[in-house]
Amino acid sequence: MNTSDPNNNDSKQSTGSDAIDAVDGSDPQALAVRASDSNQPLTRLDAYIVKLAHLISLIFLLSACIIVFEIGARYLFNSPTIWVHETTTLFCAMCFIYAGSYCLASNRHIRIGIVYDAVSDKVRRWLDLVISFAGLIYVVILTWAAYLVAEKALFAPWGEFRMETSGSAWDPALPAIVKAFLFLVLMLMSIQFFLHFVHHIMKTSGKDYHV
Amino acid sequence: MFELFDLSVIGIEWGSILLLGMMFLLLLSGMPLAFVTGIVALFFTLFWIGPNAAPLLVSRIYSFTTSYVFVAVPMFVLMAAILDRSGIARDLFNAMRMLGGKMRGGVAVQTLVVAVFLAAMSGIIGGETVLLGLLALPQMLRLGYDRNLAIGTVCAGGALGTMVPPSIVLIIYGLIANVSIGDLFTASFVPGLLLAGLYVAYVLIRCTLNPSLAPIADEDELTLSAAEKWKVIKGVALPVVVAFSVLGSIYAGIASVTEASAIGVSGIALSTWIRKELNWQLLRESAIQTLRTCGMIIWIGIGASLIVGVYNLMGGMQFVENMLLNFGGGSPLAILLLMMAILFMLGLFLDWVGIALLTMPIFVPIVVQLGYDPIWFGVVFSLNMQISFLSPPFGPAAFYLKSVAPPEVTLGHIYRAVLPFIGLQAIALTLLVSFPVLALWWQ
Repeated sequence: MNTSDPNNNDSKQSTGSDAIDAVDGSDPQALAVRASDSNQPLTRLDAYIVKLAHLISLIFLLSACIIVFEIGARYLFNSPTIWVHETTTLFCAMCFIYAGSYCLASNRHIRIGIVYDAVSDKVRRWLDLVISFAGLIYVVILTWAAYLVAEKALFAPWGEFRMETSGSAWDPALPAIVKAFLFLVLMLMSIQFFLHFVHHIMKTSGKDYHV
Repeated sequence: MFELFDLSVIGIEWGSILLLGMMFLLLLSGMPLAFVTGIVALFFTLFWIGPNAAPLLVSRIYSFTTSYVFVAVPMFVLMAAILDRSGIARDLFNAMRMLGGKMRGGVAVQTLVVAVFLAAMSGIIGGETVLLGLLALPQMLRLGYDRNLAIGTVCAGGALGTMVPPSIVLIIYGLIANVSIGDLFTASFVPGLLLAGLYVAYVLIRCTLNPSLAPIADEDELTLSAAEKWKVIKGVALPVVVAFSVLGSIYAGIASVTEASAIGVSGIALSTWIRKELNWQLLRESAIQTLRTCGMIIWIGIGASLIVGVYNLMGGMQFVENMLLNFGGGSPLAILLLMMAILFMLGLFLDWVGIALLTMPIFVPIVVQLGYDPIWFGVVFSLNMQISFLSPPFGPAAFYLKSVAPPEVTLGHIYRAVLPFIGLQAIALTLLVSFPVLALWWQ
């Protein structure tokens, strides 16, 4: 959904096509000016995250391919694989987790804009400040909790490095990888929220500042 | 007097009010739902249960993201995203013109039939409303169809995606309620067609009673040359076959839901390739759209599973369960109606992902306890979500349609136009509640 260019709204590519995207926007012209709808990355870090997301999203295509490969292997060649299930689960889990950071960077998480869009710029800046601060606390605490979980998945209680495995016939280190990745993404999201918070503080104090 | 009360009961009552109040305030501030639920959950974890529970919450996130069935969600979203970007919907619409042709109200019926086919090819709504708004609405308005009838048809038809399998609402419901998604798909098939059938019947009856509502197109506009016909049929035959093989392989038990979804993706991609529409750009855009939709769904899911988990640890589930079970003298129907009223109220503010993930963990055990079938309740739930998708003032269908409708169509027009269709949905819901066999005939 290309909300940044309202004139482009009739063309095929820019018409929204998922269930929840662009839930509001009473008018294509008004779409771009609604504050809660801006998909512009706020900080430079956000811009990089959005760029990387385009690469990571291709993993979904890859996952579809390997699932089809497995079906072919099983039905046509009668040789089912042992690795497809867990590989696709791993791929998709990592995409899902990263998608949180991507949606944060491009303001795609679903929010209710009734009050947010109606208030003055000054009040909205305060709301932004509160939202980014609350979000920061949320992800920082989650990061801490994820660290404890990831540590358990990567190290044995006596301190030796060993990766937690899934316990299936193939027995990959899926739990360890996902848990470690969750910790990393949550840390990334903490930094994102922190930069948003700084950005909004600078704006509230009236300085033109870019992180 | 006060020693009669159990202190923990007072605790959970005030706790529930505090929890709801915090969520409501934060939501109104414009904070994304995914973070609202999360921060409220953390607040109660730290101050009610104790910080030691925090790693438990992360383990919930882990198990939530690593379920194999969940892989079907991005696959079906990807399938819909590719479909929306191809010309398949347009050709399907043209192909149906040959059937609808000279019938009174034919274009509206044709729109509904196309909507059912599109719904059978994708599990999300929104995209379909937009597609039909671009394809069918201009044509109906140009032919002089009644504006309300035309708009209502497009909105209601576009919403069918959640009722006709494969539906993402049902996949998520199946994961929460721990029932077979294949069974849910089987169960929702007849109610979905019933709903579409009610729409068609309504259109035909209105047009028969008042022929001026739906003028018939000129003769020469309807006649297609044989070559044109062949071209149109060739373009849509394969995608339709793909859609039916996806559903067929699930029903026949040949493939799991996840596998069928991947077959669907490759089938639709193959169709667009044969249609010479497949290119790298289309795939990339579909993929990023999938990441976006999944990001929204999964992170709302994470937040919701945190708050439901915390509320459960606080004893809230027991509290809500007791409250609901004592409603209306404990009559199952009264409790069911209360739940649907709650779903309707929530539908005014939240979209289905949030509603499903927040209420179903609480509602499903109660429904089972009342002696209802959880699979049937899944169909009831997705029918409820149909209603909330259309209902003013925040029904997303209106906003989707507004974004592509001709400028003279206002939100007010759309709201007026969908009212009779909401009535039809209510009729379908009443039928489904009165005759559960509609969903469960195959058992």
